[in-house]
Amino acid sequence: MKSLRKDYYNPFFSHIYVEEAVQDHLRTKRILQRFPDANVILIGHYKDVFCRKGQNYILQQQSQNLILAAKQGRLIYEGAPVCQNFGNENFYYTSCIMNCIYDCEYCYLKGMYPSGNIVIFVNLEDIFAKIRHHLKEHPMYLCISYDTDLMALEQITGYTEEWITFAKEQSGLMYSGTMPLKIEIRTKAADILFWQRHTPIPGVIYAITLSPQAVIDACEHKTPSLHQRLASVKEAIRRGFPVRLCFDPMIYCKNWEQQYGEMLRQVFTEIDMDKLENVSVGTFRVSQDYLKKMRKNQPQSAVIQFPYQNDNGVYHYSRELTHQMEGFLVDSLTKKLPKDKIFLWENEEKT
Amino acid sequence: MIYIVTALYAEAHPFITRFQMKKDSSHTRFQVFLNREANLCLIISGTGSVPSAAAVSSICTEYGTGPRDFLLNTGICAQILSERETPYSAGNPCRTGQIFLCSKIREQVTGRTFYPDLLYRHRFAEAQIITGARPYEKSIPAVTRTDEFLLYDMEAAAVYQAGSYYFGPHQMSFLKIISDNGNPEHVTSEQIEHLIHRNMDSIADYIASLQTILQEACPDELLAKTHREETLHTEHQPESFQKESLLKELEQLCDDLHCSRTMAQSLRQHIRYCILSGVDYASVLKAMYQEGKLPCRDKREGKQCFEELKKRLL
Repeated sequence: MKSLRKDYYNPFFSHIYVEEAVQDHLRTKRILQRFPDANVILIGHYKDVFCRKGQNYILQQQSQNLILAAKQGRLIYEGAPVCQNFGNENFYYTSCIMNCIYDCEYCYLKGMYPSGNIVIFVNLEDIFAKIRHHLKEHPMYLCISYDTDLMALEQITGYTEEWITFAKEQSGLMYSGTMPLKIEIRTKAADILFWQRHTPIPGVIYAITLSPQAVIDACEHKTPSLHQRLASVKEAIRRGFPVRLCFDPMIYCKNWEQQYGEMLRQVFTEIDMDKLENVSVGTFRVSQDYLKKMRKNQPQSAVIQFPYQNDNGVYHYSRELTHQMEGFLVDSLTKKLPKDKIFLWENEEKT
Repeated sequence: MIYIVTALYAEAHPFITRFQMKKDSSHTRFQVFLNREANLCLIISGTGSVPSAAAVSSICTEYGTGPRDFLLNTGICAQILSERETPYSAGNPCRTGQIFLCSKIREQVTGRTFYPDLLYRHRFAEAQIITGARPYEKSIPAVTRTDEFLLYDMEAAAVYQAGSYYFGPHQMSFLKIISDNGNPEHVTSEQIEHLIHRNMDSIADYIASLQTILQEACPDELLAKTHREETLHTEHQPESFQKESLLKELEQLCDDLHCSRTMAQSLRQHIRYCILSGVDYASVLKAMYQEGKLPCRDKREGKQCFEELKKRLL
């Protein structure tokens, strides 16, 4: 059967909504230049489009549009309890982009946002100013790629590069010999050229999520294959970039032990584990409000319809299954890595 | 069903002829035309915001709406001449007869703006439209002239607002054909019909695309989100999970396990997962019945049996 989606849906970014207030912003112009054929629609506020009632996240993701806007109000947030801080104090995150070009069925963004369109906030300078203000008080551990995959959108935004430049500028400040600003860029992207075009900056860590190919095929649509991700990790490490491997979220399937075992075999073959910054391990967990929406949006998704257990508003695998899955991965990793380089989300402490 | 809303009979007539629609005489307040085989329903609202909102509400309540339905507002509009030349106006100030898909709808009286989704491929030019309370006339400074190319009508914003009680923004489109640039008194019924007729092929193509999208391109999982008519028990469940025999089987299993409400929900979630991930739950159940573990004698035994069932399934 012909792909109806291809035939009947508009191509990605065929329409770009631009807040009137930022239509002359340099970053707006730069992004628009990349889409000369897009229809530009001026809007008052990004929420007029992003927060309309009755939107269909899943349909919109078949034909994603961009919304260029200015971020107002809170620019920096304290880290959420379900996220790891890797032993860092002053754990924050920021959202300069909302939503993702990848389509992972289990992604919490599908439960968090009312729209499948992507919002890019063009006023990075305001976020940078806020961070400078914080840095006068204390060092920061800042995750900048939680509510999106920043590196996957790099060719459109150039934001990763801007963050690297910003982090480099801050490296002059020192707190008792530690970096004032540590940035985590979490990604599933596998652009080998990125590593060739940039140089490692102290304090900028690249957290690359790995999953077994069977999980990628089943749930992580539009993302690079495991092979591509490993090739990218290999190149990053070879060029001296600090890399964290994230085996998070681990996804249950009937033969999960075999799948994750095979993935680790490939990782150990391809990657020089001694050169990794650290690894993180965690099974899938999500807040009950998000899962409720995700189940409604994706009634045919096995990963979302799994009978999770609800504890204090967070859905997760049963304690027994969690221990089995995380234990399997941690035990395997312990053979190649010192324990203090393996982080489990559960207690936010080193194993 | 695709619901077509027009303000005037002259706008509706080309549709009625093209799609061989029959009048539904059970309606007395609005004229309604149907072609059930083609899944098309047309309502003539009358001119202005209140009649068009009332018509949308009336027809949607009467026939019911769900994820496989769509609202199409079409008809004539005026073109607001901009004070400078635009790509549209260059060399030809009024684009009479040209059809546009509205990408942005502004309600003049409130200043509110609405954005229908533009997910589907089409071959129309796109434009913004202002919905006003009275016909657009050049002599009345009803609309602030801008540099933008703008359309003007008297229904779109109201149709969107009324429609959004029944449809998501991905289920509404607004197709408008320019009839004049501020001299509505010169536009006759015959001219309106002619303008619509001239564009009927492209509109019919768009309708055909929508019908295909609604019936084939959007499998259940894509549509379930906005389905507001579903009952509690069948809500958001895959089609395979809604088969009557399966529902009966589940009901029997709940009885045999002496399930509480919470247990029954959990059981349904387990079976749903098994269906989606290809786990052969039927064999597991069969084995448990053969081993005499099912049916259970009481709630206590049911609870223990359910724990074992969960372990066997996953």
